[in-house]
Parts: sequence; structure tokens; C-alpha cells
Amino acid sequence: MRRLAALFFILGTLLVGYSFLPNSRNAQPLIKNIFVKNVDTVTAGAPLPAAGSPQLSQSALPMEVKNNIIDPIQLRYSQLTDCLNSVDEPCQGFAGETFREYYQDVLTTMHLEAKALLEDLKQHADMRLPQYESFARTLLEDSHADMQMVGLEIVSLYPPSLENLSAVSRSLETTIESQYLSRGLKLLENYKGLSSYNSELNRILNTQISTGLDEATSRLATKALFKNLNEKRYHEFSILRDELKANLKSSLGHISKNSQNLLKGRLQNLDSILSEYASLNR
Amino acid sequence: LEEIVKASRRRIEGIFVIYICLILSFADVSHAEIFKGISRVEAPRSCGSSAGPLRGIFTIGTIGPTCSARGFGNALLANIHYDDFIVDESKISFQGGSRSLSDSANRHIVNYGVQITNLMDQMAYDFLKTRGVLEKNTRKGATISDAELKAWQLFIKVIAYQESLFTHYQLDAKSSDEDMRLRIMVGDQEFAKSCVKSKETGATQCKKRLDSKGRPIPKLDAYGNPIYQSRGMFQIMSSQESALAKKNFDLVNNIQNGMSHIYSHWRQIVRDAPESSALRAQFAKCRHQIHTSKGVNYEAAIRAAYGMYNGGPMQICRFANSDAKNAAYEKNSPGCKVDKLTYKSDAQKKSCEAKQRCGYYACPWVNDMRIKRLVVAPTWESRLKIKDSARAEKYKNKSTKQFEFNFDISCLLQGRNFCLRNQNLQQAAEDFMAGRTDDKLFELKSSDENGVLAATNYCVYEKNKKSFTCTQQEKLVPCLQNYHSFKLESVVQKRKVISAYYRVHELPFDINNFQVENINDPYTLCKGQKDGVFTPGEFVQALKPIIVYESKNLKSKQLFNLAVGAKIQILDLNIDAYEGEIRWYKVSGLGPNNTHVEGYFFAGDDYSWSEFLTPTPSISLADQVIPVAGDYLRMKNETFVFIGEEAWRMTPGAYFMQNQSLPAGAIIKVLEIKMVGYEQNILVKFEYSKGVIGYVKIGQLKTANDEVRKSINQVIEIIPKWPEIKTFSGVGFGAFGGIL
Repeated sequence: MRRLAALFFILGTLLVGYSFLPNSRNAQPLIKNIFVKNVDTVTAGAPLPAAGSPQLSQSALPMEVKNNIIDPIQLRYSQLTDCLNSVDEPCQGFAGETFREYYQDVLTTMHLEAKALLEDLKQHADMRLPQYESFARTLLEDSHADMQMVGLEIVSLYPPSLENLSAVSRSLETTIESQYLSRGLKLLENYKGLSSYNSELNRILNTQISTGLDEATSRLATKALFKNLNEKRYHEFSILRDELKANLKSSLGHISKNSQNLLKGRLQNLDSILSEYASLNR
Repeated sequence: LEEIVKASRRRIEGIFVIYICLILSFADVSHAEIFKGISRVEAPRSCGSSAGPLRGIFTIGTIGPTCSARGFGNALLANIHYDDFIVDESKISFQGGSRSLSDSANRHIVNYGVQITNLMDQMAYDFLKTRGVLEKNTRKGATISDAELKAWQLFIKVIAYQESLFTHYQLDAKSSDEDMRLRIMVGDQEFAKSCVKSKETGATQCKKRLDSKGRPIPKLDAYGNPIYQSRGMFQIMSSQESALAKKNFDLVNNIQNGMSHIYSHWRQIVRDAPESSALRAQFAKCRHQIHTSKGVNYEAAIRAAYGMYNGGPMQICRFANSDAKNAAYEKNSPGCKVDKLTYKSDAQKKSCEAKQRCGYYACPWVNDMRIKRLVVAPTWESRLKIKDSARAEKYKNKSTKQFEFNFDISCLLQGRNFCLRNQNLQQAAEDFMAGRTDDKLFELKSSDENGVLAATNYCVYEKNKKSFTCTQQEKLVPCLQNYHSFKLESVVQKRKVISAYYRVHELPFDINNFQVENINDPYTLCKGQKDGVFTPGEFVQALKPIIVYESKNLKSKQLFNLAVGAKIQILDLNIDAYEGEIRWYKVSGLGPNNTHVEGYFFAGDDYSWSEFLTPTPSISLADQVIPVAGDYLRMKNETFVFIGEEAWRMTPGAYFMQNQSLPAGAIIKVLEIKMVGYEQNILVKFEYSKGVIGYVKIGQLKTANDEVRKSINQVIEIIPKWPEIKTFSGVGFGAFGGIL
């Protein structure tokens, strides 16, 4: 009986919350930047889909937004991401003469609003609420590196946590932007006290050195490895060096000279820092 | 009486300040007085000065609007490596005033198209082969199949053909300055196009973008351009001012960056491994069209990857919907087809094309259909004369079966600057410099320990020594004239010099292509170079009353005065970029609370310095801050020693390798003082043991709190003479060392 009452209470709360949602495209905008203001009120709306297009109603919202229904920041981000993907049926309020122009406009809006949030959080420590931290982790998963960079800067304003460490690591593992990797690795230095720091760092460096898509990020990871070498890592990355060596050797007849040079470059970078470590410490 | 004296003094000081200001304001206008520092081009990274011929859609073999390369990257570097990949506008002519290109112009552009396709083909081949090795342990299947390789190379060409700004570099036909001729196509083609359009109507500025209702779009950067634009050749969306996009000035790195982005989509599709659950759910809708019972359908894989590249990762299955939309379009509009060339009437043509447009340009589903057509029937390659077989026959190296270029692709991809394929790079670099040394100040970049950020080295080239002499201290740049002269350029209006500056010339080299001596020691760099330039450590005597200010500004707070005849030691000098050859010196003295403070005083320029100061052989020990040769120093703490005559040349990163040290209390005799590195670390040369030279760092001129005295006093104490040794315990510390 008590469980039933609790269920009704939760449903009631959700319905009240839902009644405040901007679920109609007629509720035209709007507060300019919901990322920054009105954290605890859900009165703002995004530029909503055009007439004849699917509405951004609750049922259309992705699961993560449903589960976090009173979080307007995630909602706004979700709406804009939705707009970004709705190229055939564009949201109102953005330049729509061409697909490219529209895409740029939505992206620019997202970027500017996220940057404005970052600036506010930098200047007002009392604004650093948990939902912004969670939002920053969402940004780290964005497919645009500039958005990820803003996410990284926001995360840097919060105390180290396992959740942040994991989110930052995931993004650093796959990035192809050396500036992003450089900034991220610097941020990770603050996370040294956390239990999974070493394993996360190992994974980033291993992935970037062995299979990183960009030569510059691979080089940067190798240099970062040198700064963080210890006996355990030396052993682990010596195994990686041997694997790289073996793979290169077995592929020599099948790849071009350019590929050989690039692979040799990776191998030599790794080999030289391991050798330098060995000569200094062993 | 005291009050009167003080008042008079204030008045005199005030008059003196006015006098200095008058000197600065009304003295004969000379280069020195209006020197504005190092000339830098702070060009916006935008296509604000768009120019050049504009012909339709920008695909391989066509040319579009361009903008000045200055501000984007090293134009000389592009010139030296990419000669075959630069369209020379002076070779583009039209037939009899029409918009049709002449035969020779066509040949020039076709050749450009062939060369750039060769480069892309080779890079795409290398890229996938390299991935095959790197991903050997994670890829399904040990090697890259020929079918995948062929599809990947085709995909790269198709994207380039479909929508890339493919005249990456172009030479300006009008400019006479070789280094300034290079132009670049970058950013959003629509913006560039509207820019050109507005210029054609006589506007001097590019029109700001307007939304569909004609209102200016507010999301513009400081230069009035949209913040998000595509990066160079491959249209990867990036913030216009983003540091992330800056590496894409270089052609090879631009292509590689584009391929890396595209490959991040490709591998998820071909390996059937979407990276997120949301993407996996999307991919499920069209996965069966790609991973079939007969293996991978690469035509569908290309179309899926194009959707992700063009519309974001969630558009992975857009191509399947596009097929449906196209079918509906053809059914509902009889006689219409995407890219159909001949119609029954103009009205039908207009009607058909209108249904393909979203706004001014083609809808995404139309783009998808075009990609399909390009993939299935690559007749466009024959039309552009870039057909694979013909190019392979003519341009591939017969033995290696690879395309070869006059530069080394892997060298450029490894982040190096000078990558010509030459047996003797040193000789090639020297030959390059032979005609470029006269009267020039150069800039060479060096990477920091992360290999990402760059330090600027200002350099002159000494032809006889075939080496560069450089400094990282911008304030000391005028002293480089001691090694090789370079021009002080000026802007003259109405026979009056209104600004003077040193122009910095960039070079297509890494700092390690040459022998480079970096001198950050003002004493070494400036001594004897200019009359009346006193360097750190020197003793001077005031010839007129001098006021010491908090900063290098006559309006800043006054800290203390130097009376006529006062002797003081120079702690630092500034022939500042923004003060020109006007001298400011840093000194230490007793401030208002009778505590030591450090401040700056003005000491004239090339013409008036001798009215201010004269050298003096010594000052009292209490006033001395930096030790000089012959002084005795007592170590206050244990201090590391760098052993060897040339140890001062070591990079800071190498210092940790030294494991010798002097104990606290050790005394050494100064043989020489050196100021090293960007921080201008003060190193003392001394005899560590019989015949063995050592160096200790005792402070630095560039300090976080800007106090030289404090940084030195933490490490050493200057003592008047060699102390009498009272005990032998702990003695044996080198010829001049000893512990009391």
C-alpha cells in the first residue's frame, strides 16, 4: 500500500514537472541562454522545430533527459543536439537558407552558450552546482572537439572525482586533437590521488601511442609517458614496444615507405624514452 | 625650512618629469624615438579579403575565391614544398573576354588536379595501410583487403570532388613580393561566395551574413565572421578562432586531419563497431545493407560514412532514407532526376531543380544521391583527366609503384617543417638561405617539451658561419645587429616618419636544420654593440638626478631617487620593443619604508644616453646584487652543480641529470657570470675541483615576483674576501671551495 502511495506521489511530481516543460513550439523563446541562467526553473524554451515537424515533447525526449527531467541544461543541450540532427526539418530561429549555414548556426549557438556558462562558472564559484559538472561530462562526449574543450575547462573547475576522471579519460583516449590531449593530460595531473588514476592514464597513453589516429597526439602521449614512467609502466610499455616492433617487421613487405617511416617514428619515440628511462634509473 | 626644501624638490622633480616628456614629445623625430617594436601581422584567420576568379562549384580542377595566406601559417613553407599544388593565377586567362578558360589555363588547372589527386591517393593508401598495422590486434581480419583499400581511396577522392575547396593554395597575380603572393582557400565556401558577391557590387567589406528574414546573424567573431567554419579542404566543422584548426594550413597535415576524422567514422562502419549505444541503435536500421552475406558492401559503407561526415554521427543511415526520398521524388515528379542535364523545357528544369533544393543549395538527400552516383559511376574522373590508370602509368615510380613528390610526406606528418626530398638537407637549407640573408631579422620556432607550443627565437643569419644567432628575449632584439645588420623600416607620410619597426621574416625550417646559437645573456648580446647600453651586473654612476619608478612608465609610482654621483648596479636592461632604443634600466635601492625595492629608470636614447650615466669600476658591497667575476660567494643551501666547461649550454630539462652538489656554507670564487635561457637564469662559473669547471644557478633575472635581489639572496651571499679557514673539517672542496 505504501509502495503504491509512493508511486502515485512520484507520478504526481513528474506530471507537475512536465506541466512546466516548454512542450509546445508556440512557447516561442525565450531566455537567451539557459545554460547559464535559471538553473532551478524550467521556463525557458529552445528554438523549437518548425511547423509540421516533430515536436520536442516529453515523449520525444531521449531517455537521459526523461530521467533528469528537471535539468534544463541537459534539456537545452539535448534540444540543440536534436536540432543539429534535424537537417530535413530544421528548428526555427536559426539561419536556414542552406543546410551548412543552419548547421553552423546551431553549432555556434551551442558553442557560445557553453562558453558563456564556462565564463560564469569561472567567475562565480557559488554557481558551480552539480548539474553543471554533469553537463560538462556530457560535453566531453560531444563529437565536436571545441565543445569537448569547453567541457574539459568546466570539469577543471570542480574537485577531482572518479566520475570526472573516467569521462575525461574516455575523451582523451580517442581524441585526434593534440591541443585537447595536451590540456586534458595537464588536468589529469590533479587526479593523481584517485584510485583509478594510474589505470586510466595507462589506457589513454597506451591507446594513443599504439593506435592513436593522429601522429601529433601519439607523439604527445609518448612524451607524457616519459614524465610518468615508473618500473611498472616501463615494463608494460616495453611489451607494447615489442608488439609494435613485431608488427612493423611482419608488415615491411606490404606497406609503403611513408607508412614504414610513420610506424618507425612511433616506435623510435617510444623506444628512446624507454631507453632514456632505463639509463637514468636502472 | 625642511618643508620648503621638500616643496622645492617636488617642484624640481615635477619640472624634470615635464622636461623628459617635452624631450620625448618635441625632439627631432628620429627612428629611435618612434620605434614601434617588432612588426607582426595580426591578420584575422578569415577570408575577409577574398579575391580571385570564381567558377561555379569548387571541385577538383576548378578555382574559387581565395584570401591572403598571411595570418594562417608559414607561406614560405607552403611555397617551398607545394610548388606543384599551387594554382598560379597569372597563368589563368579567359578566351576573348568570355568566362571560358583558355587551353593553356585549362592545362594548368588539369595538371593541378592531377597532382593533388596523386597526393590524396598516396596519402589515403599510406593512411589505411598504417592503420592496418597499428590495428592488427584489434581489427577483424589481419590485413586490409584490396577491396577496402580501393573503396577508401575512392571515398577520399569523392569527398574531395563533391565539396572540398580544392584550390588550396593560389598565387596572387598582382603582388610582386614573392613571400606575399600566396593565397589560401579556407573556411566556409558560402561565406566566401557571399563575400565575393558583395565585392562585385562594389562593397569594400564582406557582407555580414543575414538570416532568412534579412536580420544580421549575431553569432560572429571579432572580425565579423561566423564562429564555426569548416577547416580547409575537408570541411570539418571547427570554431574559426579555435586553436584546434590552426594546424590545417599545411596541405599534407590538412589532408591527414580530414582523413583522420573520416576514418573515425569509417572504422565504426566497416568493423561493425559503433562507439556508443545510441549510434548502435541508429546503425541497426541500415547495418544489413553494409554487412551482407557476401561480405562488406563498400558502396553502402561509403554512403554511410559520408552521412556521418556530412551531417554528424547520427546520420549514419541517412543514405537509406535518401534513397526512399529520391524514389518518391522521381515518382511524384515525372521527368525529374538528380543532376539531370537535359530537360524538355526550362520550366520543367526549374521545377525539377526547385524540388531538390533546401534553401539555395541542394538538400542532404540530394547530396547523398550525388555521392552514390560518384561512387557507382566514376566517369567524372575521366572528365577531369584524373583517371586512376592514366595517372598511375604516368606518375607512379615504376619500382616502388607509389606516387612520389619533391617532399617527404612522413616527415611533414611527423611535425617537421623542412621536408624537401634532398640528399643533403643541410646543403639545401644553406642554398635556400644564400639569397635571403641581407638585412633581415628572422623568426624560428622551437617546440616546448610537449612538442605543442612553440617558443619564438629572433634570429639573424651569419652567412660566413652558415649559422643563426638568436635570442628569445624580444627586448634584446636590437642587440642582434651586433651579429648581422637588419633594417629598421619606417612608414613615412608627408615627409614625416610616423612609425618605425623591425619586420620579422618567417622561414620554412625547424630550428634544428641549422646550427643555432641562442643568446639570452644581455651582457654577451649587447655589450659593445651600442654605445651607452649597460648590461646586467655593470656598475654605473648617475650624471644627473634620476628618479626610479615602479614600472617603465614616467607616470608610475616613484620609488626612490639617485642623486648626481650615486653609484648603482644595473640589474636588467630594456631596449623594449615598445620603447625602441630608448633605455630603461632596472635597479635595486632603498624604498620609502627603508626596505629594498626594485624599479626602473629612464636613461635616454641613442642620442642622449651620455647625459644620464657613466660606467664606474666598483660600488659598495651593500649595494651590489649580482656578483661579478672575482667575487667570493657563500652558498646558503645545498646547491646543484653542473659539471663541464659547456654545461651552461644544457637545456633546463637536462639539469636533473647532474648529481653533483655544493653543500651549504661552501665558498666559491666567481670566474664568470652567464645568463641562460628564456628565464635568464644566472649561472656562476667556478672551478669545482682542480681543472674541472662547474656552474651553479644562483638566481634569475626573470622572476615570478620580479625581484632579482630576492632570487639571488635565497641562494648566495657575496662576501668581501676569501675567509680565513679556521678548521679542516669538511674541507677539500675543490681548489677554491671550502667550508667554514
